[in-house]
Amino acid sequence: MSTIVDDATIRARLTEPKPAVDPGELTPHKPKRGHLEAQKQVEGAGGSKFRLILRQNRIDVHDFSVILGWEMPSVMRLFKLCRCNGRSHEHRNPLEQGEVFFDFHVHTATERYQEHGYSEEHYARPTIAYTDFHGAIRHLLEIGSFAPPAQGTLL
Amino acid sequence: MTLVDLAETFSQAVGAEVRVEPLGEREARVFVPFEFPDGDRLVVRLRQQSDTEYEWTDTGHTFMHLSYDLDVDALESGNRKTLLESIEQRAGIRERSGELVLPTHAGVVAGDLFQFVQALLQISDLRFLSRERVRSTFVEDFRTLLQEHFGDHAHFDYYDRSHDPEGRYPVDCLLNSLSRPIAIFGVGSDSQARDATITLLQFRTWKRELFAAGVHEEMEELSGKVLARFSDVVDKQFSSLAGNEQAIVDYFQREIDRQRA
Repeated sequence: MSTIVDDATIRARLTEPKPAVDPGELTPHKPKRGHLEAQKQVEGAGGSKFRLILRQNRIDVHDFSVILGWEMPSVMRLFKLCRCNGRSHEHRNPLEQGEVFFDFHVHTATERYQEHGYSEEHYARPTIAYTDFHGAIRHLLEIGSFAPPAQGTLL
Repeated sequence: MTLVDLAETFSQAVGAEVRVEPLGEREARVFVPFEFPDGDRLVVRLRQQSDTEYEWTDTGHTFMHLSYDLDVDALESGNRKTLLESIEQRAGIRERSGELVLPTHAGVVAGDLFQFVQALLQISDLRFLSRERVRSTFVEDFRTLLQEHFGDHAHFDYYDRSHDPEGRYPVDCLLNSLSRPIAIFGVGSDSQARDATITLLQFRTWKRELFAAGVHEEMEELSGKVLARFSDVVDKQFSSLAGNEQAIVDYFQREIDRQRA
């Protein structure tokens, strides 16, 4: 059983100020099995290490994933703080009366789902904050407390 | 309600769980109530190839989802590759640049859906062979073992505050209050062995007397040179944690007793 990360720590890692990132580094170029991938490591103002992982399906433009992970010190584990997904599949939240939805959605790490034996980012909510891959990147950078990109480098 | 009534109601309810949304003349999205471990549901589409020929496809989603937990390059060799090929062969699935496809035709398309879904779930389960997942368990097991046996005497992620206030040279676990404190490193990879070697050499330059030990996840998986350098700086190594738990804590307890005698 993995160590449970409490909500206060999750919140602290999400709100820890992070530097602006070059949008060019967030464009998935690396071919993987049916999708393209990009990764970038960043360090927060408090010294925490984070990793951005971006994936875009090569067939379905609405099938993508933008992840902010926290590299937990000493346990070699990437704890997924949040993940912005596209509108390509349904999602079910088993602890919310099993609600199912089909929409763009954001997974967020919660202490509650971990306590019930689910993965940290199992809980997800539909969103209207974005409708495409680049919008999802902008949204993740915003909710992940990244500094805004320099002018002229907007995604 | 009779059993027959119940069976009919049940059958209708199960059938209603599968829904179809047309995406054009020749393709439809098919919603099925089967999920990956994080609550995201499988992606399944039916594509018409000719009047009677169809194919089930996952549009490449299954491998992308698998990549959340596993580097999909790991599916190109070793046991994972063998397992993947076996699943695909049993189900009659073809892989097309990461897209999983099951050819079918009008007469059997419904039955083939379940075969396709079952194969996607089996492929998704390859994540549980993830090397990182195993390694994560090793680190947790290592820390739990020392915490349970040595309690407050075990200082995790210890660093020398006077020489290293930023904590650049951490020791995984230090058993303190001894003339020669015991520094224990959990070693699950070459990079961890290198870091431990550097840390121990740094402690030497600070003239800190330590009894250094390494507990390996699997000692034989380390590269020869890395292991040789690590061996030069430690006093004791355990080739693996699994199965050696009692021997490990007994050894450290004896070392504590010896120093306190």
